[in-house]
Amino acid sequence: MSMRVTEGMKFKSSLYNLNTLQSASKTIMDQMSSQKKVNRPSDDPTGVGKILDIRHVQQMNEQYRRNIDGADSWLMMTEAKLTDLNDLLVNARELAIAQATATATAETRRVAAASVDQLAEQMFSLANSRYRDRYIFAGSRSDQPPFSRDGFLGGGVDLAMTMASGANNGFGGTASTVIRSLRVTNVKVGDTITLEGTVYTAIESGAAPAVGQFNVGATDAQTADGLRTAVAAAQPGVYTLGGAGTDTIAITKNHQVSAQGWADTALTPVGDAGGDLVIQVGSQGTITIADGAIGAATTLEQLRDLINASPDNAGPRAVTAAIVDDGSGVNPYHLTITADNGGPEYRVSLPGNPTNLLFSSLNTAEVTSLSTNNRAHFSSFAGAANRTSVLKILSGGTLADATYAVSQDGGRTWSAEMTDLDAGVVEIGDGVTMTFSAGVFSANDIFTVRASTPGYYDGDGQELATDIGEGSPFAYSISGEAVFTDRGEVETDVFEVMTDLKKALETNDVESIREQIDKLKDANDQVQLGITTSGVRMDRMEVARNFQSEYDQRAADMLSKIEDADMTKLVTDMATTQLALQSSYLVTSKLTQETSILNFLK
Amino acid sequence: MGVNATLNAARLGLAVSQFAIDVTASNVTNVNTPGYVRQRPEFEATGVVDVGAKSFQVGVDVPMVKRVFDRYLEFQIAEGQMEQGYGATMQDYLQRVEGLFNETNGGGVSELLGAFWSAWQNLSTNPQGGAERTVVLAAAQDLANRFREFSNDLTSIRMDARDKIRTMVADINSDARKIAELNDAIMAEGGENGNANLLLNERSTLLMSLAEKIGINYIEDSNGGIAIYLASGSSLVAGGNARQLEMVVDDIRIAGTTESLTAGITTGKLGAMLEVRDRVVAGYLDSLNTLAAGIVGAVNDRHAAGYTAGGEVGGNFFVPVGALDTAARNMSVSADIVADPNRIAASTTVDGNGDNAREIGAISDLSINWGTSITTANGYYGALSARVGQDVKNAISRKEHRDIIMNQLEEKWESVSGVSVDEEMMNLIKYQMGYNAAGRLVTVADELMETLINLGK
Repeated sequence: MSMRVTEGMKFKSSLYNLNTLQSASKTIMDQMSSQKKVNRPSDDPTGVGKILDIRHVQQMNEQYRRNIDGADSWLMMTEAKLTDLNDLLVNARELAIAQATATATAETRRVAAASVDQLAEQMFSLANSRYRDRYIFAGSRSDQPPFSRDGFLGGGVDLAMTMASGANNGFGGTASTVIRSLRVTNVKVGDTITLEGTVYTAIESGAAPAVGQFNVGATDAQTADGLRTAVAAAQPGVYTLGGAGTDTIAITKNHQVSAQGWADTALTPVGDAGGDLVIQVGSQGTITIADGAIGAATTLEQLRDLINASPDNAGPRAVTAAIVDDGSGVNPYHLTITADNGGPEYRVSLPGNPTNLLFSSLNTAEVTSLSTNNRAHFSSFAGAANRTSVLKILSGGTLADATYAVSQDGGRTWSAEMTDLDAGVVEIGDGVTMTFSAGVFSANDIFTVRASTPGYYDGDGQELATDIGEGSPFAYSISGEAVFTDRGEVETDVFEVMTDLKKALETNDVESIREQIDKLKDANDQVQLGITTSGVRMDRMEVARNFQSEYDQRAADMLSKIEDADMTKLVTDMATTQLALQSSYLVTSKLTQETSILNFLK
Repeated sequence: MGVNATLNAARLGLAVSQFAIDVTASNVTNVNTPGYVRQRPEFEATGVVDVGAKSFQVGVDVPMVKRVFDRYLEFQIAEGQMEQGYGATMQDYLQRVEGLFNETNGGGVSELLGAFWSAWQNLSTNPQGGAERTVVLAAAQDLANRFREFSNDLTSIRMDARDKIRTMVADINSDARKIAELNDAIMAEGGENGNANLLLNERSTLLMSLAEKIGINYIEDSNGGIAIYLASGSSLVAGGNARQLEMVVDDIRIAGTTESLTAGITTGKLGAMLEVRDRVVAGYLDSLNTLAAGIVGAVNDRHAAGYTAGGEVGGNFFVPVGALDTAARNMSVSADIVADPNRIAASTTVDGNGDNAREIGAISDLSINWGTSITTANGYYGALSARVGQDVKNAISRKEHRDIIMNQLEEKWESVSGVSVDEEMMNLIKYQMGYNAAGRLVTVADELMETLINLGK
């Protein structure tokens, strides 16, 4: 028996077929317009995982290529600087050879010494070259200039950051000859630092400091000289400290006031307006020179003696008056009054002053008094190469409770956990010690000492690395230690040779000049080796770059296979679907025409 | 047997033809009414007249109008409705989810993740660089934002299912109530054999609509009422009584009892929504959270071992994960670092090299244990995308399969119960002829009567 066909069936099945065809047609159009056969995860679930993988590989390849380009530029810069340095060394050698001959005289050698000095100056400048924000020859200490000319000449700076009380502080370092940089860490906005009894408050790094304020910066490291200058100026807002923490850091030193220049010491009276001369020494009391002691004829020398001989001038409020000649020739004599004790509680001022002398606060150039609180020092660093020592608090607490670990490689690897902070001196090794005597610590407080061996080099022997492929860091930098120092694998300190040559020329020491000629040859070889190493590494970059383009090509091929649409097939499919759709429309339009009995019932 | 009997038979013939034309009219006018079951008048000869030794049946009657309908087919359609309701709803929700994972054209988690690792690599080549630090921060914030949005979008799809479940339960209650009322009315009219065809149509429609929403079984009893049971066996409708469902938080129960139905509802739209709410989207969210927590953990571990530009201990780069189920939603960069990118720990020493940034960048290629698999972060996300794609693909093919079956069942139903205009037209002609014939009979009877009367003159 034939099937009973109703109107509803005809319309329904037409509609169903139209929907099916429309949806197939839409899929084909999607693929044609995007040129991809995978437009959403459900189009090819397994393919999607692969597509994301390959895209990731492509993204990383692009990054590796950027890394390679970066390292390559770095190496080109390194090679260029070393080549220039080499030329300068050749110049110096030629100069030395000329001056070692019998025709040279003491006079020509003195002139040559000046030239050598200039060559050395240029060499220092090249050795402190930067690429982007980093010093090329500083090893991993690439944020600070690696060479300083006054390396051997640095005076006996003796500095300490001391912890007033509480937690989380900086450190100090002492070194007779070699400390050149001092990093002050752990200062945050709102922290205060006490200099000369004046409290300065830390403000945001970008803000303009008002009186009594200074900027916080994360990366600033204060050199010993810089800090000394800052202390000497005793001005707010002139230098920057970095780091985090909430406690007061006090720098203590002896305070001094100084009067303006005077024409002579024993002829011109200092003047007398009547009244006592009163010298206030912080919270320790005053030294009073009675009204009657200073007369119309009192001179600078007499005033000095009056102060030094005053019976008030004793005990904790003791001061020393002195006359200093500034060598200017015009009003060169200054009367200075310096507290005998260091610290903010010994600040000197003159609340009563009947003389014409105008005293202003001035600090001596040397910081002479140190707090005995927490500090790190390396009076004699015995290490073979420059090194950064770190002490990190692991769990906080008082001296007795806190635990800590120490690191000799800048914090990369750590000792076992230790608990004897209150025992006094912590031996980090090679003469570096840290002393803690008060305070409460928090976990992750860090105390750092950057120790440098005698010489001109402040960087370290580490190499910088970058990824040039999956899981393969490539060391691309050449440290100053490897090229310029007698540390590590090489033997000649290039700048020492230059210094020695200059000295030999100045002192007319022919024997020594001859010695330096040989050493200059060695220095030359050392720099040449650096140039060769750069070249080899650049070749390696080239190879890596070729690998990357090959990987890229392959990844693109794989991706194309998975996700690209086969256009020929799509166009054919499209035509077929269109045809089917058209027939369907035709059939639907006929549903009411000629296919119903109604058309025949009149 | 007399002329009167003939007249009477003719009267019946006229009335029955008229009635049959009315039934045809009903069929024709309802040709497009969904759920309308075509009706057929059942003719029956009636009125026995004895003529001598012989008996004749003269006259016709329509004792009932029959609904032409296949009960077994209706069962199959009900079952198909449950599957189709489930399939369509599941496909709808999954395609919304798939839209979120659609990164075959870029701009998604995968790409942002790649940009994040790249930013670290860039920083490693210039660890003091302010620009490089800012880029790391920006890439991390983009990534964290994407995770947050992703989690919110998935959650809102889940919440949408949760809201719709409430509406759906209310609709089911309303259907059940109406079916119970119709049961009463149908039983009062005498059930299948009574005069309840339109009520039966209405009840069938409601029954199909109920089956689309929730899995049911039903039995028709001899009085014409139907008893409906849920898939769990709980009675929903019995005669004129309907039990109501209620939501207790997220649990569906028989109102006023502690009987939980949630686990037993696996088909119909409601079944799909529960699946979406409790398992499918919840599963994707779990994976997303695992991914976020894994990235946060791996980056933080490495970051804490490094040093900031100021030479301090790195600390956390991302805010550490509190609870795993909010890891993606709460993903964000530590406030310290947002305030000061110099606190990004790019160095492995206090001196400021770029090795830590390089190592964080290399986490990109690090296999991490995710609990269910050990792969890279990117691989884990790829697997999640593939899983979503596979789920959608399965839902689509399941739905297509169901559509085909339903289409066939509906064609069959149309074939049995649908109105064929051709057929109705033929019937119309047939009934019209019957009517004409009965009319002719009256004329003849009239003439006979007249002859009889004239005989008596």
